[in-house]
Amino acid sequence: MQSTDRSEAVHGPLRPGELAEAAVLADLALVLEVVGWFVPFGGALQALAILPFAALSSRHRLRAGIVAVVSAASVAFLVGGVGIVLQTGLAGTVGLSIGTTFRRRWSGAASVAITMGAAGLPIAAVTDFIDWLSPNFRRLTFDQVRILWRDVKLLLGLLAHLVPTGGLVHLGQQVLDWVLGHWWFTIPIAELAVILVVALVCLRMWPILRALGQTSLRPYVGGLQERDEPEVAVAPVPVSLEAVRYAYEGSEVDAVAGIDLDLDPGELLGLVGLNGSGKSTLVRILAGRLAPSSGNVRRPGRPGYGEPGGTAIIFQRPESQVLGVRVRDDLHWGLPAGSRPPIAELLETVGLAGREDTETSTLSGGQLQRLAVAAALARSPRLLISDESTAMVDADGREEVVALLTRLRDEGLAVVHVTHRRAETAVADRVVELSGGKVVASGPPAARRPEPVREEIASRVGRGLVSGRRPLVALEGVGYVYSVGTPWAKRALLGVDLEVGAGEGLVVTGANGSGKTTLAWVLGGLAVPTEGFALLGGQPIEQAPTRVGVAFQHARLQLLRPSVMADVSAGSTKEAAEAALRSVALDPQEIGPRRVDDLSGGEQRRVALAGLLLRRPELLVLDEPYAGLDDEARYALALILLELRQRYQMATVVVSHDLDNAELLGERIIRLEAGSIVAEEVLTP
Amino acid sequence: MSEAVAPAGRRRRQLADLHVLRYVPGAAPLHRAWAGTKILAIALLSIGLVFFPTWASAGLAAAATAGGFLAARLPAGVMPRVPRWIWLVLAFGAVLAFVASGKPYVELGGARLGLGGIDEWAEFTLIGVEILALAALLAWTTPLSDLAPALGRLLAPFRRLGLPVDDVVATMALGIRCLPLLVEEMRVLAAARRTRRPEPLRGLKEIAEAAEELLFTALSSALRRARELAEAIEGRGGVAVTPPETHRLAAVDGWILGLSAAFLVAMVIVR
Repeated sequence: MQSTDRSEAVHGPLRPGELAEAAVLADLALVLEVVGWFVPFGGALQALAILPFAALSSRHRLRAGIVAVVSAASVAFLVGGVGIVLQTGLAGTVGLSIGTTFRRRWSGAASVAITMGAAGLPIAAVTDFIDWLSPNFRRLTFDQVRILWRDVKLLLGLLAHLVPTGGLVHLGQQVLDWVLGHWWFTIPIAELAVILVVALVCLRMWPILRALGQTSLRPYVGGLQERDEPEVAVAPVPVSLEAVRYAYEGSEVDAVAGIDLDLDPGELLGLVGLNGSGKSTLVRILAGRLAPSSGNVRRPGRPGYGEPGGTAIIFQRPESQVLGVRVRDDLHWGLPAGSRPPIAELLETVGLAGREDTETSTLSGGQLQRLAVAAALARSPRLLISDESTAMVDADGREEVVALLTRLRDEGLAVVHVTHRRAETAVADRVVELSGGKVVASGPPAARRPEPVREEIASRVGRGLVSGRRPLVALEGVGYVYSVGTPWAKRALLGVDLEVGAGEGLVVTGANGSGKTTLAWVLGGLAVPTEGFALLGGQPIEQAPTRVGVAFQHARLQLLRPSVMADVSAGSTKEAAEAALRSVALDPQEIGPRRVDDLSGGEQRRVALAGLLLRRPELLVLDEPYAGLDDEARYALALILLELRQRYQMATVVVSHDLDNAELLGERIIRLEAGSIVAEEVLTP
Repeated sequence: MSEAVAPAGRRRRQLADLHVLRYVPGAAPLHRAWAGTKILAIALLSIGLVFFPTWASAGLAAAATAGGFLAARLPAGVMPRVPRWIWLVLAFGAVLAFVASGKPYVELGGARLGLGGIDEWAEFTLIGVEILALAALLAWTTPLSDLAPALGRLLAPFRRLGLPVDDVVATMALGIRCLPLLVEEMRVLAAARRTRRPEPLRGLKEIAEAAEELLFTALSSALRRARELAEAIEGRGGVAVTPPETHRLAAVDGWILGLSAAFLVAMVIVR
C-alpha cells in the first residue's frame, strides 16, 4: 500500500479512487440534507452534511472536493429544488475548507480563517446581491422578521400591566428599524457571525478526520500503473508463478509464502482455502495488481487489467461492482465514447437477455454477478478471475455463475474461481488449496472430507430437539406492505403464522425477494407489521426492544465505536464485555484493542454479536450470518448459537438463503415464497 | 384487527417512505419530454419564484405545477405523507402570523381583523411548497438513469471553459447509482443502533455522542464501499462517461420550455 501523500502529485481528471469517494460521500451528504427536512430539529442534521465533504477533501485534492459539491448540489436540485441546493453548496464549501486545511496540516486558526473567506464572504455577497436585485424577496424575508417582532410586541403589551415594558418596545422597534434599514450591512454581518460559529464548532470534526486516516480506510491508490509501459502488448496468459512471495507493508507474515503455479488458456482453476489463507493476494498477483515481493511471474505480455483482451476480476460484493443505473448504462461504463458494445449478445451470454432497460438496483445478487461478467466480456478478457464472487449469492445464483464460468472456460478463456465451497470446484480442471499462504494440495476436484467438528455440532443440535418448549414468539396473520397506499406499494409478507419457543433454533429460508429479510425485521421489532400481530411474550415485539437482538449481514454498520473494546463495553462494564467476547469465541485480550475496521467480516459479525449478547436478549435474529464465511467460521458460529440456546434458553432465528450446513443452525426450518410460509420441516443432522 | 397492533399513524416512519427520486412509470407527455427540458423548466420557474416572490408569481407557479401534475397523469398516491410535526410547525407559524396582524384589515362581525401577517405567511409557505413540488414532478416522471446524461448535455458548454464537466457527470451518475444502496445502508444503520441501544437519548451530550458514532460508522462503511467501487471502475478500464445522450427533442419539449419561459416573463411583468 502506498502512502496517502501520493494523491498530492495527481493532476488531471479524477482517478477511480477519487471519483468513487466523491460519489459516495456526496450521496451521504445529500441523504443528511434531505432527511434533515423530515425530522424535527433536522437543521442540525443538515449541518452535519459538512462532515462527508470535509472527509473527502481531507483525503483528496481540491478537484475531487469541488466535483463532489457540484454533483451533490445538482442531484439536490433534482430532489428538492433550489432551497436544498444552496444548503448543499454551503455545507460543501465549509466542508472543503475544513478538510483542505486538515490535509495540509494547517492550524485551527487557519481553518477558521479559510472557512470564513471561502464560505462566509461568498454567502454574504450572494444574499446581498439577491436582496439588492429583488425588492420582493427582501420584503418577504423582512416581513417574516417583522411578523415575529409584532408577536413579541403583543406579548410585551400584555405584560405591560405587570412590568413597565413600554421602553423596551420602543427600543426594540428602533433596533429593528435600524437593522432592516441597513440590511446591506447587517445581514452579511449576521451571516458571517453564524459561519464563524460553525467554523469553530467544526474544529471538533478533526478527530474524526484523523480516525478516517487509519490504514484500513486509506484512500484507494489503485493497482500497478502498468499503463506506463503501453509498448508492451496485452497478453495475460499463459501465466507462470515461480516461488512467489508477498508480504503487505508493515506485516511480518507473508500473505503468500512461496507459490509455484501455472495457468493456461482454456483451463478452469479452482482456488480454495479458509479466509485469510492468501487467496485474494494470490489473485491480485495473477491479475498483475500486486508485484510479488520476491519470485517470478512470467506471462507473454502485460496482464492488462480492465483492458481489451486482458484480465477481469469479479469481486465478492455484487452491488459494489455494478456501476450503471440501468443494465445498458452499466455495460457502457468505461468503454471509449462512441463505442457500441454488442449489448444484446452479451446479455444473452450471461442469461440476462432482454434486460437492457432494467434498473440494476432491482437485480438479485446472482443477476448482478452475471451482469458483472457481461461487463467484463465486453472487453473480451483472456483471463477471468472470480474472487469469491459466489460468497454472497443464493444457491440458484451460485449455480448460474459457476455454469457461466464453465462455459467461458470452454470458449478458451483462462478462468480462476476462488471459493471456500468445495462443491463449487467440482467442475474445475484442477483445484489448488491454500493454507497460510502456501499450496497444501493440488489436483483434481476432491469430495468433501469428513469433519469431526461438524459431526459433533450436528449431534448436539439433534439432542437439543425437545417438544413442549415455553412459547416465546407468536406471529398471527402477519402481513407487511412497503409504501402502502402509494404507486410503489410492494407486498413483502402475507398471512404469516409462526411460533418460536424459548431456546429453539429456527432457520428461515427462501429465494431473493421471498420476504425473509422483512420477516427478520418484523421478528426483530424493527418493522411493525401492517397486518396482524407480532408478539413476544404477549407484548408487541416493537415495544420490547431490550428483549430482542438483531444481527445484520453487514456487521460493520452495527459497530459504533472505533475499537472493539470501546464498542462492546459501551453502556456496560469491561468485565461484562470481556465475558461477552469470550462467549463468541474471541479472546478479549487479543481482539479488544483492535480497530473494528481492521477485522475480517467474520470477526466483525462476532463482535457485533457480543455487543448484542450483553443485553441478554430472549430472542436473537441473525440475517445471513453465514455470508462470506468459510466452513471453519461457520462451525464456530453454529457452536456459539448452540451454546446460547442450550445455556441461556435464548431462541435463535437464522434467516439465510445459504443452506450449506444450515442443519447446524437449528432444529426447524421454514421456507418462504412470495411472502408466505410454503414449507416447514424438522432439520435432521 | 391489525389496527390494534399497528395503527397507521403510529407506524414507524422509515427513510424509504420519503420516496425521494422515485419514478412512476408512464407514457404521459411529461414522461416523454427530455429530462434536460424538465430541468431547464424547473430552473426557469425557480428563478421567477426566488427573485419575484409575489402572490401573482405563486399563483402562476401553482398553475404550472398543477398543469404539470395533470400532464403527467400521476395517481394521487404519489403525494408524500407529511410527518405530523410539520403540520404542527406550520400551524404554529400561522397562529403567530395571525396574532401579529397587520395590513390589510377586514371587518368581520364587528371585530377588526388584520390579515397582513397571515397573508405573508401563506405566500412564504406556498412558494416553499411549490419549489419542492416542481422537483417532485421531475423525479416522478423521469427515470433516474436519464438524469446524468441530460445534465451532461446541459453542462457541455462549460467544458470549453476548462471546467471538469466530465468528472461531475461521472460522479453524479455513480452517485445516483449508489443512492439506493446508501439509503438501504442508512436504514440498517438506524435499525442496528436501535437494537444495540434502544434507550431514548437524554440531553445534548448523549445526542452529540450518538450522532458522532453513527456518522463515523456511516463514513467508514461508505469509504469501504468506495474502495470496492474504485477497484471495479479500474476493472472497466478506468473512468469514462455515461452513454451518450440519444434522446431526440420533440414537440413536447418545445411546449414545456415555451410555457415555462412565458410563466417567467409573466412573473417579471406582474411583479
